[in-house]
Amino acid sequence: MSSNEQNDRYSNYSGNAGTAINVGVVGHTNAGKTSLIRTLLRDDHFGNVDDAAGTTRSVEQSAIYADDEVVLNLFDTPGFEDSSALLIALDDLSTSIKPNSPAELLKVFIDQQDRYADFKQEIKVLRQSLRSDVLLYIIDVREPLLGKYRDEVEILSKAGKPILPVFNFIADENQALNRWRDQMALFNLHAALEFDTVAFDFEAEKRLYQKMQSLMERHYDPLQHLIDYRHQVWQNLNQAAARCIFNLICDVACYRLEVTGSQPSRSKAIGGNGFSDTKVKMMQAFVRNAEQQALTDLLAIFSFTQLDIDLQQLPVSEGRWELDIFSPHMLKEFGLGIGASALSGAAVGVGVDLMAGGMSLGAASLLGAAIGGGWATAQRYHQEFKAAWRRHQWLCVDDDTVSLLYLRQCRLLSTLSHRGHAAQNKLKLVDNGKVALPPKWHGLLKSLRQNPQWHQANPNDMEYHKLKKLMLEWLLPVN
Amino acid sequence: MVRQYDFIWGTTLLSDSVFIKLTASLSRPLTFIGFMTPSAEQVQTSGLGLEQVLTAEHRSHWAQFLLGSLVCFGILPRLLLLLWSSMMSIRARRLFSFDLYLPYYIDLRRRLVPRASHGQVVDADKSPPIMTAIEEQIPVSHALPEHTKWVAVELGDNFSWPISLINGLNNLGQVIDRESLESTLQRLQTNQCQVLAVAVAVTRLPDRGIQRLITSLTSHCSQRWLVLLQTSDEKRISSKRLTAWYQLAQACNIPADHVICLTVDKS
Repeated sequence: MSSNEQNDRYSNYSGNAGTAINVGVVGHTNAGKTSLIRTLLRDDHFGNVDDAAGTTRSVEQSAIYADDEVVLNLFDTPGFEDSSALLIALDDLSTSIKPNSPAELLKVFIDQQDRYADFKQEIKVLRQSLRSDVLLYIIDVREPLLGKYRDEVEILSKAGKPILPVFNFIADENQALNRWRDQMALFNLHAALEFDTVAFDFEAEKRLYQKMQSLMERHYDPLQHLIDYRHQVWQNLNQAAARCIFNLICDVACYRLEVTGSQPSRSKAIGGNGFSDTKVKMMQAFVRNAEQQALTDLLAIFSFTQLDIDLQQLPVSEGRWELDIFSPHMLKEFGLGIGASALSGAAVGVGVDLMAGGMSLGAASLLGAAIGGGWATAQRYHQEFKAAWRRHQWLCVDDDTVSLLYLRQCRLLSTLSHRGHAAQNKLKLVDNGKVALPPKWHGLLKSLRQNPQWHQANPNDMEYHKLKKLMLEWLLPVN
Repeated sequence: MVRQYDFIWGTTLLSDSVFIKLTASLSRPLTFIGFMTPSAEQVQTSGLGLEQVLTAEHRSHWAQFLLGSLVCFGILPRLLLLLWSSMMSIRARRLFSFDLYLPYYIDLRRRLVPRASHGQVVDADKSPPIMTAIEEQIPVSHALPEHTKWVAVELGDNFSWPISLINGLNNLGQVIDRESLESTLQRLQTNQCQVLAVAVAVTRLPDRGIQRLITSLTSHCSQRWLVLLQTSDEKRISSKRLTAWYQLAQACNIPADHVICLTVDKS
């Protein structure tokens, strides 16, 4: 959608101050109501979540904003625990007072709450249902189809509000999901939604708002505004994360340390023996710090707290990776062959490639190139020239290490962008999916390594931006 | 109050002709704007040492030359520069934007947006929290009395009821909804049963509804048992869940040593 079209769409829409949609989140106890709200809010401080009955005992309100405007008021309610008895009590009351409408029955029931001390929790749900514009009925699909769930839907439908069933904990539960779908269809609830609070997917959130749009036509525009806004924010977050990863890879690949040529560093086998230990340690410290910074930033971008880290089983403790990037286990974990350089991660700098062919140039041709290319070239290759003159060499970070860094960040990004906020002790997902290096990976590394001036800079260079764009496309495939 | 100024020039370093040429070239842009500047002759005649009175026109030309120089070479370039730089700064300001998605700003926003808007109790629970201290217990296997009758409560799909251990005659059915509760209660009454074992799936969550079911089922029996069923392939149940079942047993007047655990093969 072009921005013009977007403007047209909103030309008639002038905010919705005071008309925020009230969404009652209801369901059986422990179905994941609070988890759903946490996931929508991206805030694991909201409410209490526990694997027990009646964790939420009060009705708690929170808001979802688009820009500075409240679009949704979410109401977290206590869960139903004894709907069958409640339905019997409602039926009894109904025969004695003969109400005009089911909603009136609920109102009378709420007014007489002192008579029904057992249903304190349920009465809160009923009161909130009557105050809401739409009800999200959360279902744990792993549960069997029991009479009490049918009773819950029957009670809720008395409030006369649109009900949207939301199927939670759907991972690997296709059969159960279909059973529940059929069950809901019996109550004429055909517009249902799959939304897993464990393995969150932004598309599911979008569908939630779209379903609400179809249920409440008069709130169409504010909901569309919310969808577009949340979409934009989500994209920006992912972009920011991808940029962060690119900067890490760029900084590490462009990193170089000058070492004196007196050492036997031309040898191809570099097991930490070609360079002085201090230099290698300096390089390793740099790589570790760079990755640490990236981890801190990525966690911050997606507001990941320690709780989320535990839930998603990230191998991170106290904000640090548990496995060192130079540990030999890393190569195995990410399926890379154990190269000779595995122990130090250091590689000899390969001179300067001026041509696409990848020819390494000696000092003489370098000088020639510098003269031929004018001042700019001379400036650009000043360091190489000096090093070649002094017979020094560059110590770079080897391909394997940069590849490992990339793969680990890819896996991290995928975990971060799919997090839910479900309770502990629930089904946990570990993303052990194979992440593969992109096909042009080594070409990109080579390009980066030949441009040490990009190290920790944000250059205004065509090639730099081309490479950046390329890597962002790898990290954020357009779906 | 009238004063009259003459303009007399002299030059030390430059020759007279250069001075005249210089004046002429400075005059060119001034005449272009519309100032009347002294002609070459007029410049020559006002040279130092030539004793003559300048005409009014002559003086006015010199005055206009001075004023024009001030405007043209002093004020105008500054104005143009000011205009250009303010245009550039407006443009730069328009192009400049904070990248609010830098980790720093994301963190800052989270700190600044008040948490209060995230969670505000609107319908508070006023009852005091229920605190029943139950010490952790591990259910042991017990042989049940021979004439025990069995009822299952909301077992789910993992178990086929009745489980193979139970003599079909002792099975009074499974409660899954209001209707089955009704019929089971009737069967209980007609059987006049004294010893009743209620089977539940240990993985399911003990809540108030299940508690009411078990209470109503066991209310007329003198000996009550709670049997926690577990399939052999299920992983060990958390001690918290187990404690919750013990709490439920207590609420249903089932003594703790009448809570037993039974592992059955998955159907």
